[in-house]
Amino acid sequence: MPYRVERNPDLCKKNFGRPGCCWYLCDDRDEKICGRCFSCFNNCPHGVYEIIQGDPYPLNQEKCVGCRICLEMCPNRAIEVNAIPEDARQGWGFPDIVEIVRQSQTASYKLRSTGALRRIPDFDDLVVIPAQVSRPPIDKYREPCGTDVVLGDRFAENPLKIDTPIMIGAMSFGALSKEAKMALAIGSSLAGTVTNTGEGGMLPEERELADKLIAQYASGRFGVSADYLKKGDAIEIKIGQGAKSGMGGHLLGEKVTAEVSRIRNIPEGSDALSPARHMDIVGPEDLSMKISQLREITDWKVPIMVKFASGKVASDVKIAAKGGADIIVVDGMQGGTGAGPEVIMEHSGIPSVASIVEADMALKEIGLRDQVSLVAAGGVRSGADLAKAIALGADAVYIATAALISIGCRVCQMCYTGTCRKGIATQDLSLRHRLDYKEMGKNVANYINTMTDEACMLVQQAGNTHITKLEKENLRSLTLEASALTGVPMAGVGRI
Amino acid sequence: MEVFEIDAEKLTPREVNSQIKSAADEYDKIIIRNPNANHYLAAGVTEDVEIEFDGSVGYFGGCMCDGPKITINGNAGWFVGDNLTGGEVIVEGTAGDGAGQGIYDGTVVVKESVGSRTGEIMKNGTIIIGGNSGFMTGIFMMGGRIIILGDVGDDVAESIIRGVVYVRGKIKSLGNNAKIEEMTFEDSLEVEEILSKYEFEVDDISQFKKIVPESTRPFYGH
Ligand SMILES: Cc1cc2nc3c(=O)[nH]c(=O)nc-3n(C[C@H](O)[C@H](O)[C@H](O)COP(=O)(O)O)c2cc1C
Ligand code: SF4
Ligand code: SF4
Repeated sequence: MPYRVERNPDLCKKNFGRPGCCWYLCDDRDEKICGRCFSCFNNCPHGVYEIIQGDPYPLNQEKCVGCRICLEMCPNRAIEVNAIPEDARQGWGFPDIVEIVRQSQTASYKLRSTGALRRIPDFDDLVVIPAQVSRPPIDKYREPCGTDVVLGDRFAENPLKIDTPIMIGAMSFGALSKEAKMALAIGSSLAGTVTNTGEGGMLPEERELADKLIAQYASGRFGVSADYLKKGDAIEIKIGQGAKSGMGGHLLGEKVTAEVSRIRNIPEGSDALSPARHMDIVGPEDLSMKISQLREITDWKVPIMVKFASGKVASDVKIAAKGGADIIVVDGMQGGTGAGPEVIMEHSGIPSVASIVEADMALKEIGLRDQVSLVAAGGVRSGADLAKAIALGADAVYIATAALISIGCRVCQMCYTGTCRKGIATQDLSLRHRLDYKEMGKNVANYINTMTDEACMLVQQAGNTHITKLEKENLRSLTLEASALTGVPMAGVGRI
Repeated sequence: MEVFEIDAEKLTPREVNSQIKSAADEYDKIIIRNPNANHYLAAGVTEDVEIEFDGSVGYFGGCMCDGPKITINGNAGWFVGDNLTGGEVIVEGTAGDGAGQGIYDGTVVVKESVGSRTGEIMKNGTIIIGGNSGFMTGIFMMGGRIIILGDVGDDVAESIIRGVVYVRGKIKSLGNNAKIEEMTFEDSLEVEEILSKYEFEVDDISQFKKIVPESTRPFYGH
């Protein structure tokens, strides 16, 4: 059992006339030998104390065996030795204690950015199995691997045709700076893919720089107009996002600068509150009507997408598919956000790996798998994650947090404060100047291209020639949890 | 004035809308006969054109428009004039729930009564209801003005953070964060002016009550 040893320096020095530790009384003090007087330092048989600048400190706590000799010998009762109780379950870790203290002092729940950070089954629990003789691998260096995909060709005249199945997810202007939006737009164009406005209207610069841009249609309808929708290469109805399942958005008035106010079409400095649900979508029929309404506005030209936080995936996906969606997005519980309550991020929703499989199966059950495209989001970081998402059933993925990291984000989880040191999640001009959007745009493209390349390697070593060709049977699970969640068999002869 | 006529009897909303949009540039006025209460009619028209429906329209009539002057000589279903960003939508009869939902600008006028949740999440612009309006009128309002000549149901202006609701008739109850304020002289002038523009006859403006937000930041402690 470990011990915590504490020495109270005020008590230690309170009494000059004590035996043992008495350097205050020495006429001819020699600090080199003071240690011999300090009763704790002198008496501890395990070398827990060290002298720093003339004072004894219990530095080597791990050496303490709990004999309490120091405590007994101390003439000033300045020492406390307490056993740290066993907590094998680790239910009361330091972060738990800090959070309880914080709540008891501030009476407020914890806000932060990013998504679920606790350990949940994810892409790392799965592996792609290599082809050997039963099916030969494809040569990465000499043979091509197709990466282009077409999404949303069910009803839309102009489906999304992209060079890689990696798309940049919705992140609003307001949550992000203009420079960050521009970098993402440049990166998406260089990589031949598409980016997304997010729920805060469309920046003219973003439209200019992005070859393909999805216009998001969220419950607050900020910045929405016929012009906005018609400028989109696809419309995404945001029902929810994984990090904030079942909650609306909130951009504080302080962040609604003149430019944000113009783009969102609301007064400067006013809070922008998005309701938790679309006021006109409260049931299956309503979603179908909404899809039709948006199609009529955009003359049936562009794909209509529906984005869900992953919860009751099968029924939500079926409703959207039957309601006429061209593309469905499922955002797992580890999906990112600019701001949200921690309790929702960590405790609501299901992991991305589970939701992809459930969505894919739901589409197959209603016979619409070939017609409706499925996009996976939440926690995609690498080519391996992409390959596994596709093998689980997705046609493409969204990256959001990862895209921010490629332009400098350090995942400090503080986007909501609006003081991002990297100039990404801020409207402060002096911070924004730190972000070189042209350079960062290239970084985004480099990153997407490399991820695509990595995924291709996994695809080719599994014996396939196109990135979309990976199937669930190409996967094995390393953990029981991931196997149970996804139906992917355990590696080896392990079954489930 | 160049007028284009569409007989919608045998057309789908998609066909009607595509005819409206291709005629909108060339003609000053488009008349749609037999709209048959179809949904989404005149969705997303952005030209300055007069559009007249000779009959009733279904859900989302004249939604997401910017510029046209739309008249519906009949009734309208739910969400008439949804997300208008400019122009006018005038319904001669009644309308369903959510009339003028989420508008940013322009004017939605319903001459008779409407269902519930009129003007929900609107950011700006004007909504005038000649008759009564149901429960939660002006819910989540973020700006603009709603003028109701008849009575209004429960929880008016629920969770309003900006904007104003004027009611001439009875108010059943106020929603959270809503309060009644004295009409000023300027308010009366403003209401009188806009009502006379749309040919509503009101003899005594002083009957109107004005409903505004109690706090502009009710949820976050400011
Ligand atoms: C800063 C930030 C802002 C976001 N804003 C939106 C938004 O406006 N609308 C939306 O649907 N999702 C939003 N998201 C969620 C992403 O679109 C995406 O679903 C999610 O972050 C994917 O998970 P990942 O970050 O692990 O890639 C945001 C995410 C971040 C990190
Ligand atoms: S309790 Fe014993 S081992 Fe621990 S610091 Fe004191 S003297 Fe040293
Ligand atoms: S570095 Fe900036 S963008 Fe990244 S998490 Fe921190 S505040 Fe957010």
